[in-house]
Amino acid sequence: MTAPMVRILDGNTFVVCDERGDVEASPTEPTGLFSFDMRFLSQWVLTIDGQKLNSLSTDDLQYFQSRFFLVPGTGTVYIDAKLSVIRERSVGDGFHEELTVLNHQSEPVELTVRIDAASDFADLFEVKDALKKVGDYATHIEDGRLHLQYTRETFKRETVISASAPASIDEHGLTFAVRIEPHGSWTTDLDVVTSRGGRVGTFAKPKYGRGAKQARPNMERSLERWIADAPRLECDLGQLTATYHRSLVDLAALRFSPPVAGGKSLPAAGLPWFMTMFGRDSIFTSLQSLPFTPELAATTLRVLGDWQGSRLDDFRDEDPGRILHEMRYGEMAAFEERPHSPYYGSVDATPLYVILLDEYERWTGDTKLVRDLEFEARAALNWIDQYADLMGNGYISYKRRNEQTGIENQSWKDSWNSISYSDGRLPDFPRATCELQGYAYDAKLRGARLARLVWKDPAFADRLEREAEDLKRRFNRDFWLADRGYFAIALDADGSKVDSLASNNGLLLWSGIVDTAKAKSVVAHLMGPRLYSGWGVRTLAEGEARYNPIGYHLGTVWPFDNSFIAWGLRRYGYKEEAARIASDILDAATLFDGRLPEAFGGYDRALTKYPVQYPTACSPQAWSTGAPLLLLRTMLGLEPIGDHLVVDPALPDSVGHLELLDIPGRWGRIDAFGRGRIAVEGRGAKPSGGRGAAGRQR
Amino acid sequence: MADVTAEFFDRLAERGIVPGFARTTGSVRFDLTRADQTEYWRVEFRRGVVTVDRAADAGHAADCVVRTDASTFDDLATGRANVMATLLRGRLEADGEPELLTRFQRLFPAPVKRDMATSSARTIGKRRG
Repeated sequence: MTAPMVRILDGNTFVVCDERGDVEASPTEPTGLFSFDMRFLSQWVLTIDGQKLNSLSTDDLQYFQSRFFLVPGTGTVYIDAKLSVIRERSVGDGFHEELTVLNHQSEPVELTVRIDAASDFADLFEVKDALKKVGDYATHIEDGRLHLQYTRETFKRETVISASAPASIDEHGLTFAVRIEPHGSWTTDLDVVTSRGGRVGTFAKPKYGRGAKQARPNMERSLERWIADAPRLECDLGQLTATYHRSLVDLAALRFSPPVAGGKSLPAAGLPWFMTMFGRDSIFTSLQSLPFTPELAATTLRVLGDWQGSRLDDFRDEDPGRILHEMRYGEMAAFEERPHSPYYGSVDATPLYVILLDEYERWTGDTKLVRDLEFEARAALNWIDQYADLMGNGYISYKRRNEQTGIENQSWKDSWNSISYSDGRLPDFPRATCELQGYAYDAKLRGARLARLVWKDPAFADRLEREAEDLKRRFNRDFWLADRGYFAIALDADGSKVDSLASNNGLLLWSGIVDTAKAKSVVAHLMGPRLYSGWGVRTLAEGEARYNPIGYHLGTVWPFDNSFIAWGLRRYGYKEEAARIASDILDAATLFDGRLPEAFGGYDRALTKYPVQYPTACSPQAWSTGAPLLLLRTMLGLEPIGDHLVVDPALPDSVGHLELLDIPGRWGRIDAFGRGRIAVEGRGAKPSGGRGAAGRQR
Repeated sequence: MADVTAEFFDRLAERGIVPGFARTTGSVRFDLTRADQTEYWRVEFRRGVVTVDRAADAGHAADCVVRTDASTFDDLATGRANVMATLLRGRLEADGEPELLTRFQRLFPAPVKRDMATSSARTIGKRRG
């Protein structure tokens, strides 16, 4: 049986423990204190007189803080406890724990309070594999502190544990001989500090102290400021306001400040296992959150630009101009047993980088950043033609060069079996998935706009536009399945069309690569019974050989995917369909208390009544957190045109009146209003057409 | 053996203008230890122009100071080692503005051919759980 897990985090330092606050790691229980992709505590167990405690309740106070209420006892029969225990823990550069024992009796008690502590210093990659470690362990006691160390050549990681109350310390933990007066209490502070490499001893203390009120700040803005600076949502539909607030709070928790970003933060991919830079996830989340928190996009662009590929490196799948896939900081990356230093095996992040740069400028008017990143943007555009066209047919395709630890499928559907023919066969490599061509098209057009506007290079702009038009023409010929009325999910290595029906068609609308004449048929498929579950568009259509409503990319519904599909539907004028998706995904969000999971089952809505969460360990997931934000933008029809924000609402009727106030951008701050007029209740309901008020500038 | 580190810096100095460094301003000092001796290299970026100063010493301030042993730097300068992996391994330290080291690392050459790790597994993308 798996006990409920509690997670708190600060940047990429996090604790996963059981509901008592204990950590007892095993191959099947990935618990512990983790920092920079390494485990620093694999055991942290509290006992009183040799007995473990039982949980009464757990409060998640903030994303970095929890409180555990415990009592002694067997846990089978509840007896009025004579003692109770409170552990309050705040994570940051290790963690701080305030441990309090209360005596409820009218006589004094003498107790032995014990913390057992140990660390296996496992790399995040090996946590579940229980691999044998190459390095050496050491434990020693110095100046009243317990030091747990791991050394492999010059690679050093250390956990330092100390307490404020007198303790007898041995190599396996701390023991407190405690006497508590009648109705009295006893307290100690426990500090656990993590340190790395040449930085051993850098942090003398964890970030939070007693009371956990004054942290050493590491984010440029506090949570309160973060919320206050974001646009305010007022809406007749209270659950939408709640979902919006949840998204902002989760986005704050997902901010990650890489060691090289000068204290600025960008969105990490998921909490807690993916608190690191991911090219694709950071870019998609930055796009979703642009109207709300545009500075995330600026940091994403700068940091990914700093790390842009500059050479050919087969191990890392790196090319000049390529945007990174994932960075890791643990032992296996350090010793090149994994390629994540960083790994570049993503084929969509590079065109998406140009798309984000342009979209960012359209919202913010920050031409300085566009000038600063001219080299990076040109290198990214160059990569599309020079390095990504593996088959020499004018399309982006992918085939990993790192055959051992590289990723096979390098676009967003990155599981090994995600791209298949209708009959289930897997195509060969190189593989050219369709959405990649859409991104390339969009990146060229947006790059052309930037070239003309900021880089003052009209010849380059003309060339990019010619290439984009040519790409669009060829794509609509080579990927179109005329007998089915949708685009092939990919081209096989031999040029054959991989004919399964998948949500990738929706992303094509977002890119604008679809001929207007073909859009109607594509939309009919997206909203038709094979793809549309009632909660959203499935990743793969019912009826395909590999379809599975709970297969990771084989039939589940991804909120992130749907938010971009809704944006694409609006781009082609399908307002009612976009509102339908927004309404259904936001309904699902309400059923998940405002926090959309990474994916949910593709079961028909009429069958389950309730969206079935796909079991993953990461929650919140950044691009799911961003989905309600992009859906709000889509429903309100927010589009920056020149120095103005155009508002063209098309809201589902369930929303009622909606106001989004103080939207930041090149216009300063602006408000948008709308009223729900599109009937989406029930299947086959006739849309009545949407209308709403325009924006108000101030 | 040829002084591959000196060759690396000489080539860099000869280039003078480095594409992609237009937005980078700042200086990096490399303190490379060989036996009991430390050799110092100071590189300055200003609007895309790079200058290399070999005569610098520890008193010559820089925005980012990188310390490693000379043989490790030889490996970096010839594509036998990767900066980030070396940094994570603790063989190299950077003080000051680490962004400058991130910018600088793109100047190192492509890796020489290497044997890859032996394990092979089906990739499942980001799924975990």
